[in-house]
Amino acid sequence: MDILNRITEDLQAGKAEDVRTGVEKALTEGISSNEILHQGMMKAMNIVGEKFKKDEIFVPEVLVAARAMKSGMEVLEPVLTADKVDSEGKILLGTVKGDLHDIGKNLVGMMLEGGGFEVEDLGVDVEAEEFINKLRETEAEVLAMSALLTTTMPEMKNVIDVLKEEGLRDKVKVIIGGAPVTDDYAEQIGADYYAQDAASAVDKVKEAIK
Amino acid sequence: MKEITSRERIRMALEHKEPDKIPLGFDAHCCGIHIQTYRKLRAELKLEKGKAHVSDQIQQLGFLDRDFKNEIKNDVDGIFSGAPAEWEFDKKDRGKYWEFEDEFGIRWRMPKEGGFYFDMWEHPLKDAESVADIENHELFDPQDQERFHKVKDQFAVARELGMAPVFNPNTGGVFEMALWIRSFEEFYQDMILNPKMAEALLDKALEYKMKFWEKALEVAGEDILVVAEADDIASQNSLLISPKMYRKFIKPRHKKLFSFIKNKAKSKAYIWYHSCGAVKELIPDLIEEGVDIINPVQLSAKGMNAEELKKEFGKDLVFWGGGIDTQKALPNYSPEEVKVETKRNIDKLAPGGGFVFAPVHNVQADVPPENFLAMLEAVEELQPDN
Repeated sequence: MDILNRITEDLQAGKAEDVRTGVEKALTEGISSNEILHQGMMKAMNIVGEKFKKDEIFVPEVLVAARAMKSGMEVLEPVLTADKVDSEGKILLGTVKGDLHDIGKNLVGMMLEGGGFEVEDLGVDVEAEEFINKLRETEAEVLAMSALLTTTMPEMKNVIDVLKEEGLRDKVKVIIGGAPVTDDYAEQIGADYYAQDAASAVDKVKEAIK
Repeated sequence: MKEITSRERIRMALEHKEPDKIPLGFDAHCCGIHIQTYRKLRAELKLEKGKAHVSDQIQQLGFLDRDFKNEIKNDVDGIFSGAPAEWEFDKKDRGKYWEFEDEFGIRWRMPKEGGFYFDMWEHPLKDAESVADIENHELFDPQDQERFHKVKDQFAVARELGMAPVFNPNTGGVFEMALWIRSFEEFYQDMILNPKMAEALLDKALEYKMKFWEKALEVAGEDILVVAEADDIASQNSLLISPKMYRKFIKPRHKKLFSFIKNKAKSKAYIWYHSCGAVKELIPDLIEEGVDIINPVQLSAKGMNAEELKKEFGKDLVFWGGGIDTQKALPNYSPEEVKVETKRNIDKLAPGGGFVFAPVHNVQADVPPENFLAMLEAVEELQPDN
């Protein structure tokens, strides 16, 4: 099996060490960093995402794959930077104020990184002001917000309202998610996209910044 | 005709017979009311002022007082064990947050401003590296006398008033205990990368639970009726882990725990099991494990269609919940819409018995009191004597 296929297989199986050595080997074989990223690792994460959407695999399998991706990226990232390979886009991510839930949000972050995006994760209980400041600072193209609770969902609307007040709404695409969130709700509060799981979030983000 | 007691009414429902009235199952685990809404409801119902305190710190639920339970015609008395003697709830100020550490060493936080619940913040075994690390993590004695010193009285009151007692769990199920103590992300990965550690932690949780219930059932004596366990295995759209993984790690332990409880109970005990989310695929497994009652029948989750569930599993399972969706309907609908929706769900779940009314989850802080009351009115209007 060629080395890129090996990386793809190992990454899906969550074999972090093997992915790392695979990436090292691919680099010494002279394969470009861009190709290793796209044809090796992102290809694997894409398959992981598809299987997750179809309920063929579940959270544990996604987590170990993401961990393996991370381990490979530790080797690859400096090379990508040196080769000036751009990320697919910059995403600002966080769980809204009043809400401390982060498993879903973390999964979204991992899947986005697996999709080649640069993710700035602000964590949980993020105030509108913090989102705004970070948006200005990073000039992220997408703002991704999460809320698990019906009681904290309205905060997502608040953030969008503040974006409008600050004249930033047209500069960023807003994508929202979380168990009680729906397509209708996204439309109602003026978000651009709703994603029902971490894999769909990657699809929606791709759509948002194509 | 002599009116039957609440205990008899619930027992009939559990025996899959249609009781004289639709039984009301508040006060069972996850069938509570957020303290903010509970206060508003007490005011709305003109009940004595000055009552209303928090019974469940994590979920910020109100302790349902007797006058309230009488007013809404609840059929259940939740039985709650207490904390071990050496542990106490100690809320610390952490800047933006309130924080406390539970008896398992898990640290929980609630935002001071705009917070509705305590959520997990730090997990004691997050950095564990070996089975030994797990074995060395000490837990409080699950049989500590102090936990049970009020339990006997609660059962005695329920007996005296003819209420149906539901013995609520003191913590999450075996799977949840493992996820909470180790951290979600680590434990999920352990199940693939380090199954021995996963098994060790699950066994530790199982041992804790068996000891807890052994003592609890001894104290409950012959008053026991329903034993509640809660172990979330699904999310809104899917299971949390694959059925294969569930059957390997969780199912054997559920089965062991539930048969242990049934054996130790001094009179027939029904196993009440809570898991949110899209659990349909594993319902046959739950039945095989000895689950008698399923809660909350999360109507908004994938595949959780009340009609189909009743048809497929109604003969083996009692549905406790499913009365009305709590994510969208109960907080947001108009009172009239709440009534229509409530009646629609009851019509699907109640025929033939095997149904205890409760909303899909705790009534949250965003539910207007008039919607709660409209929901009760809908139940009342469907009662045969109306």
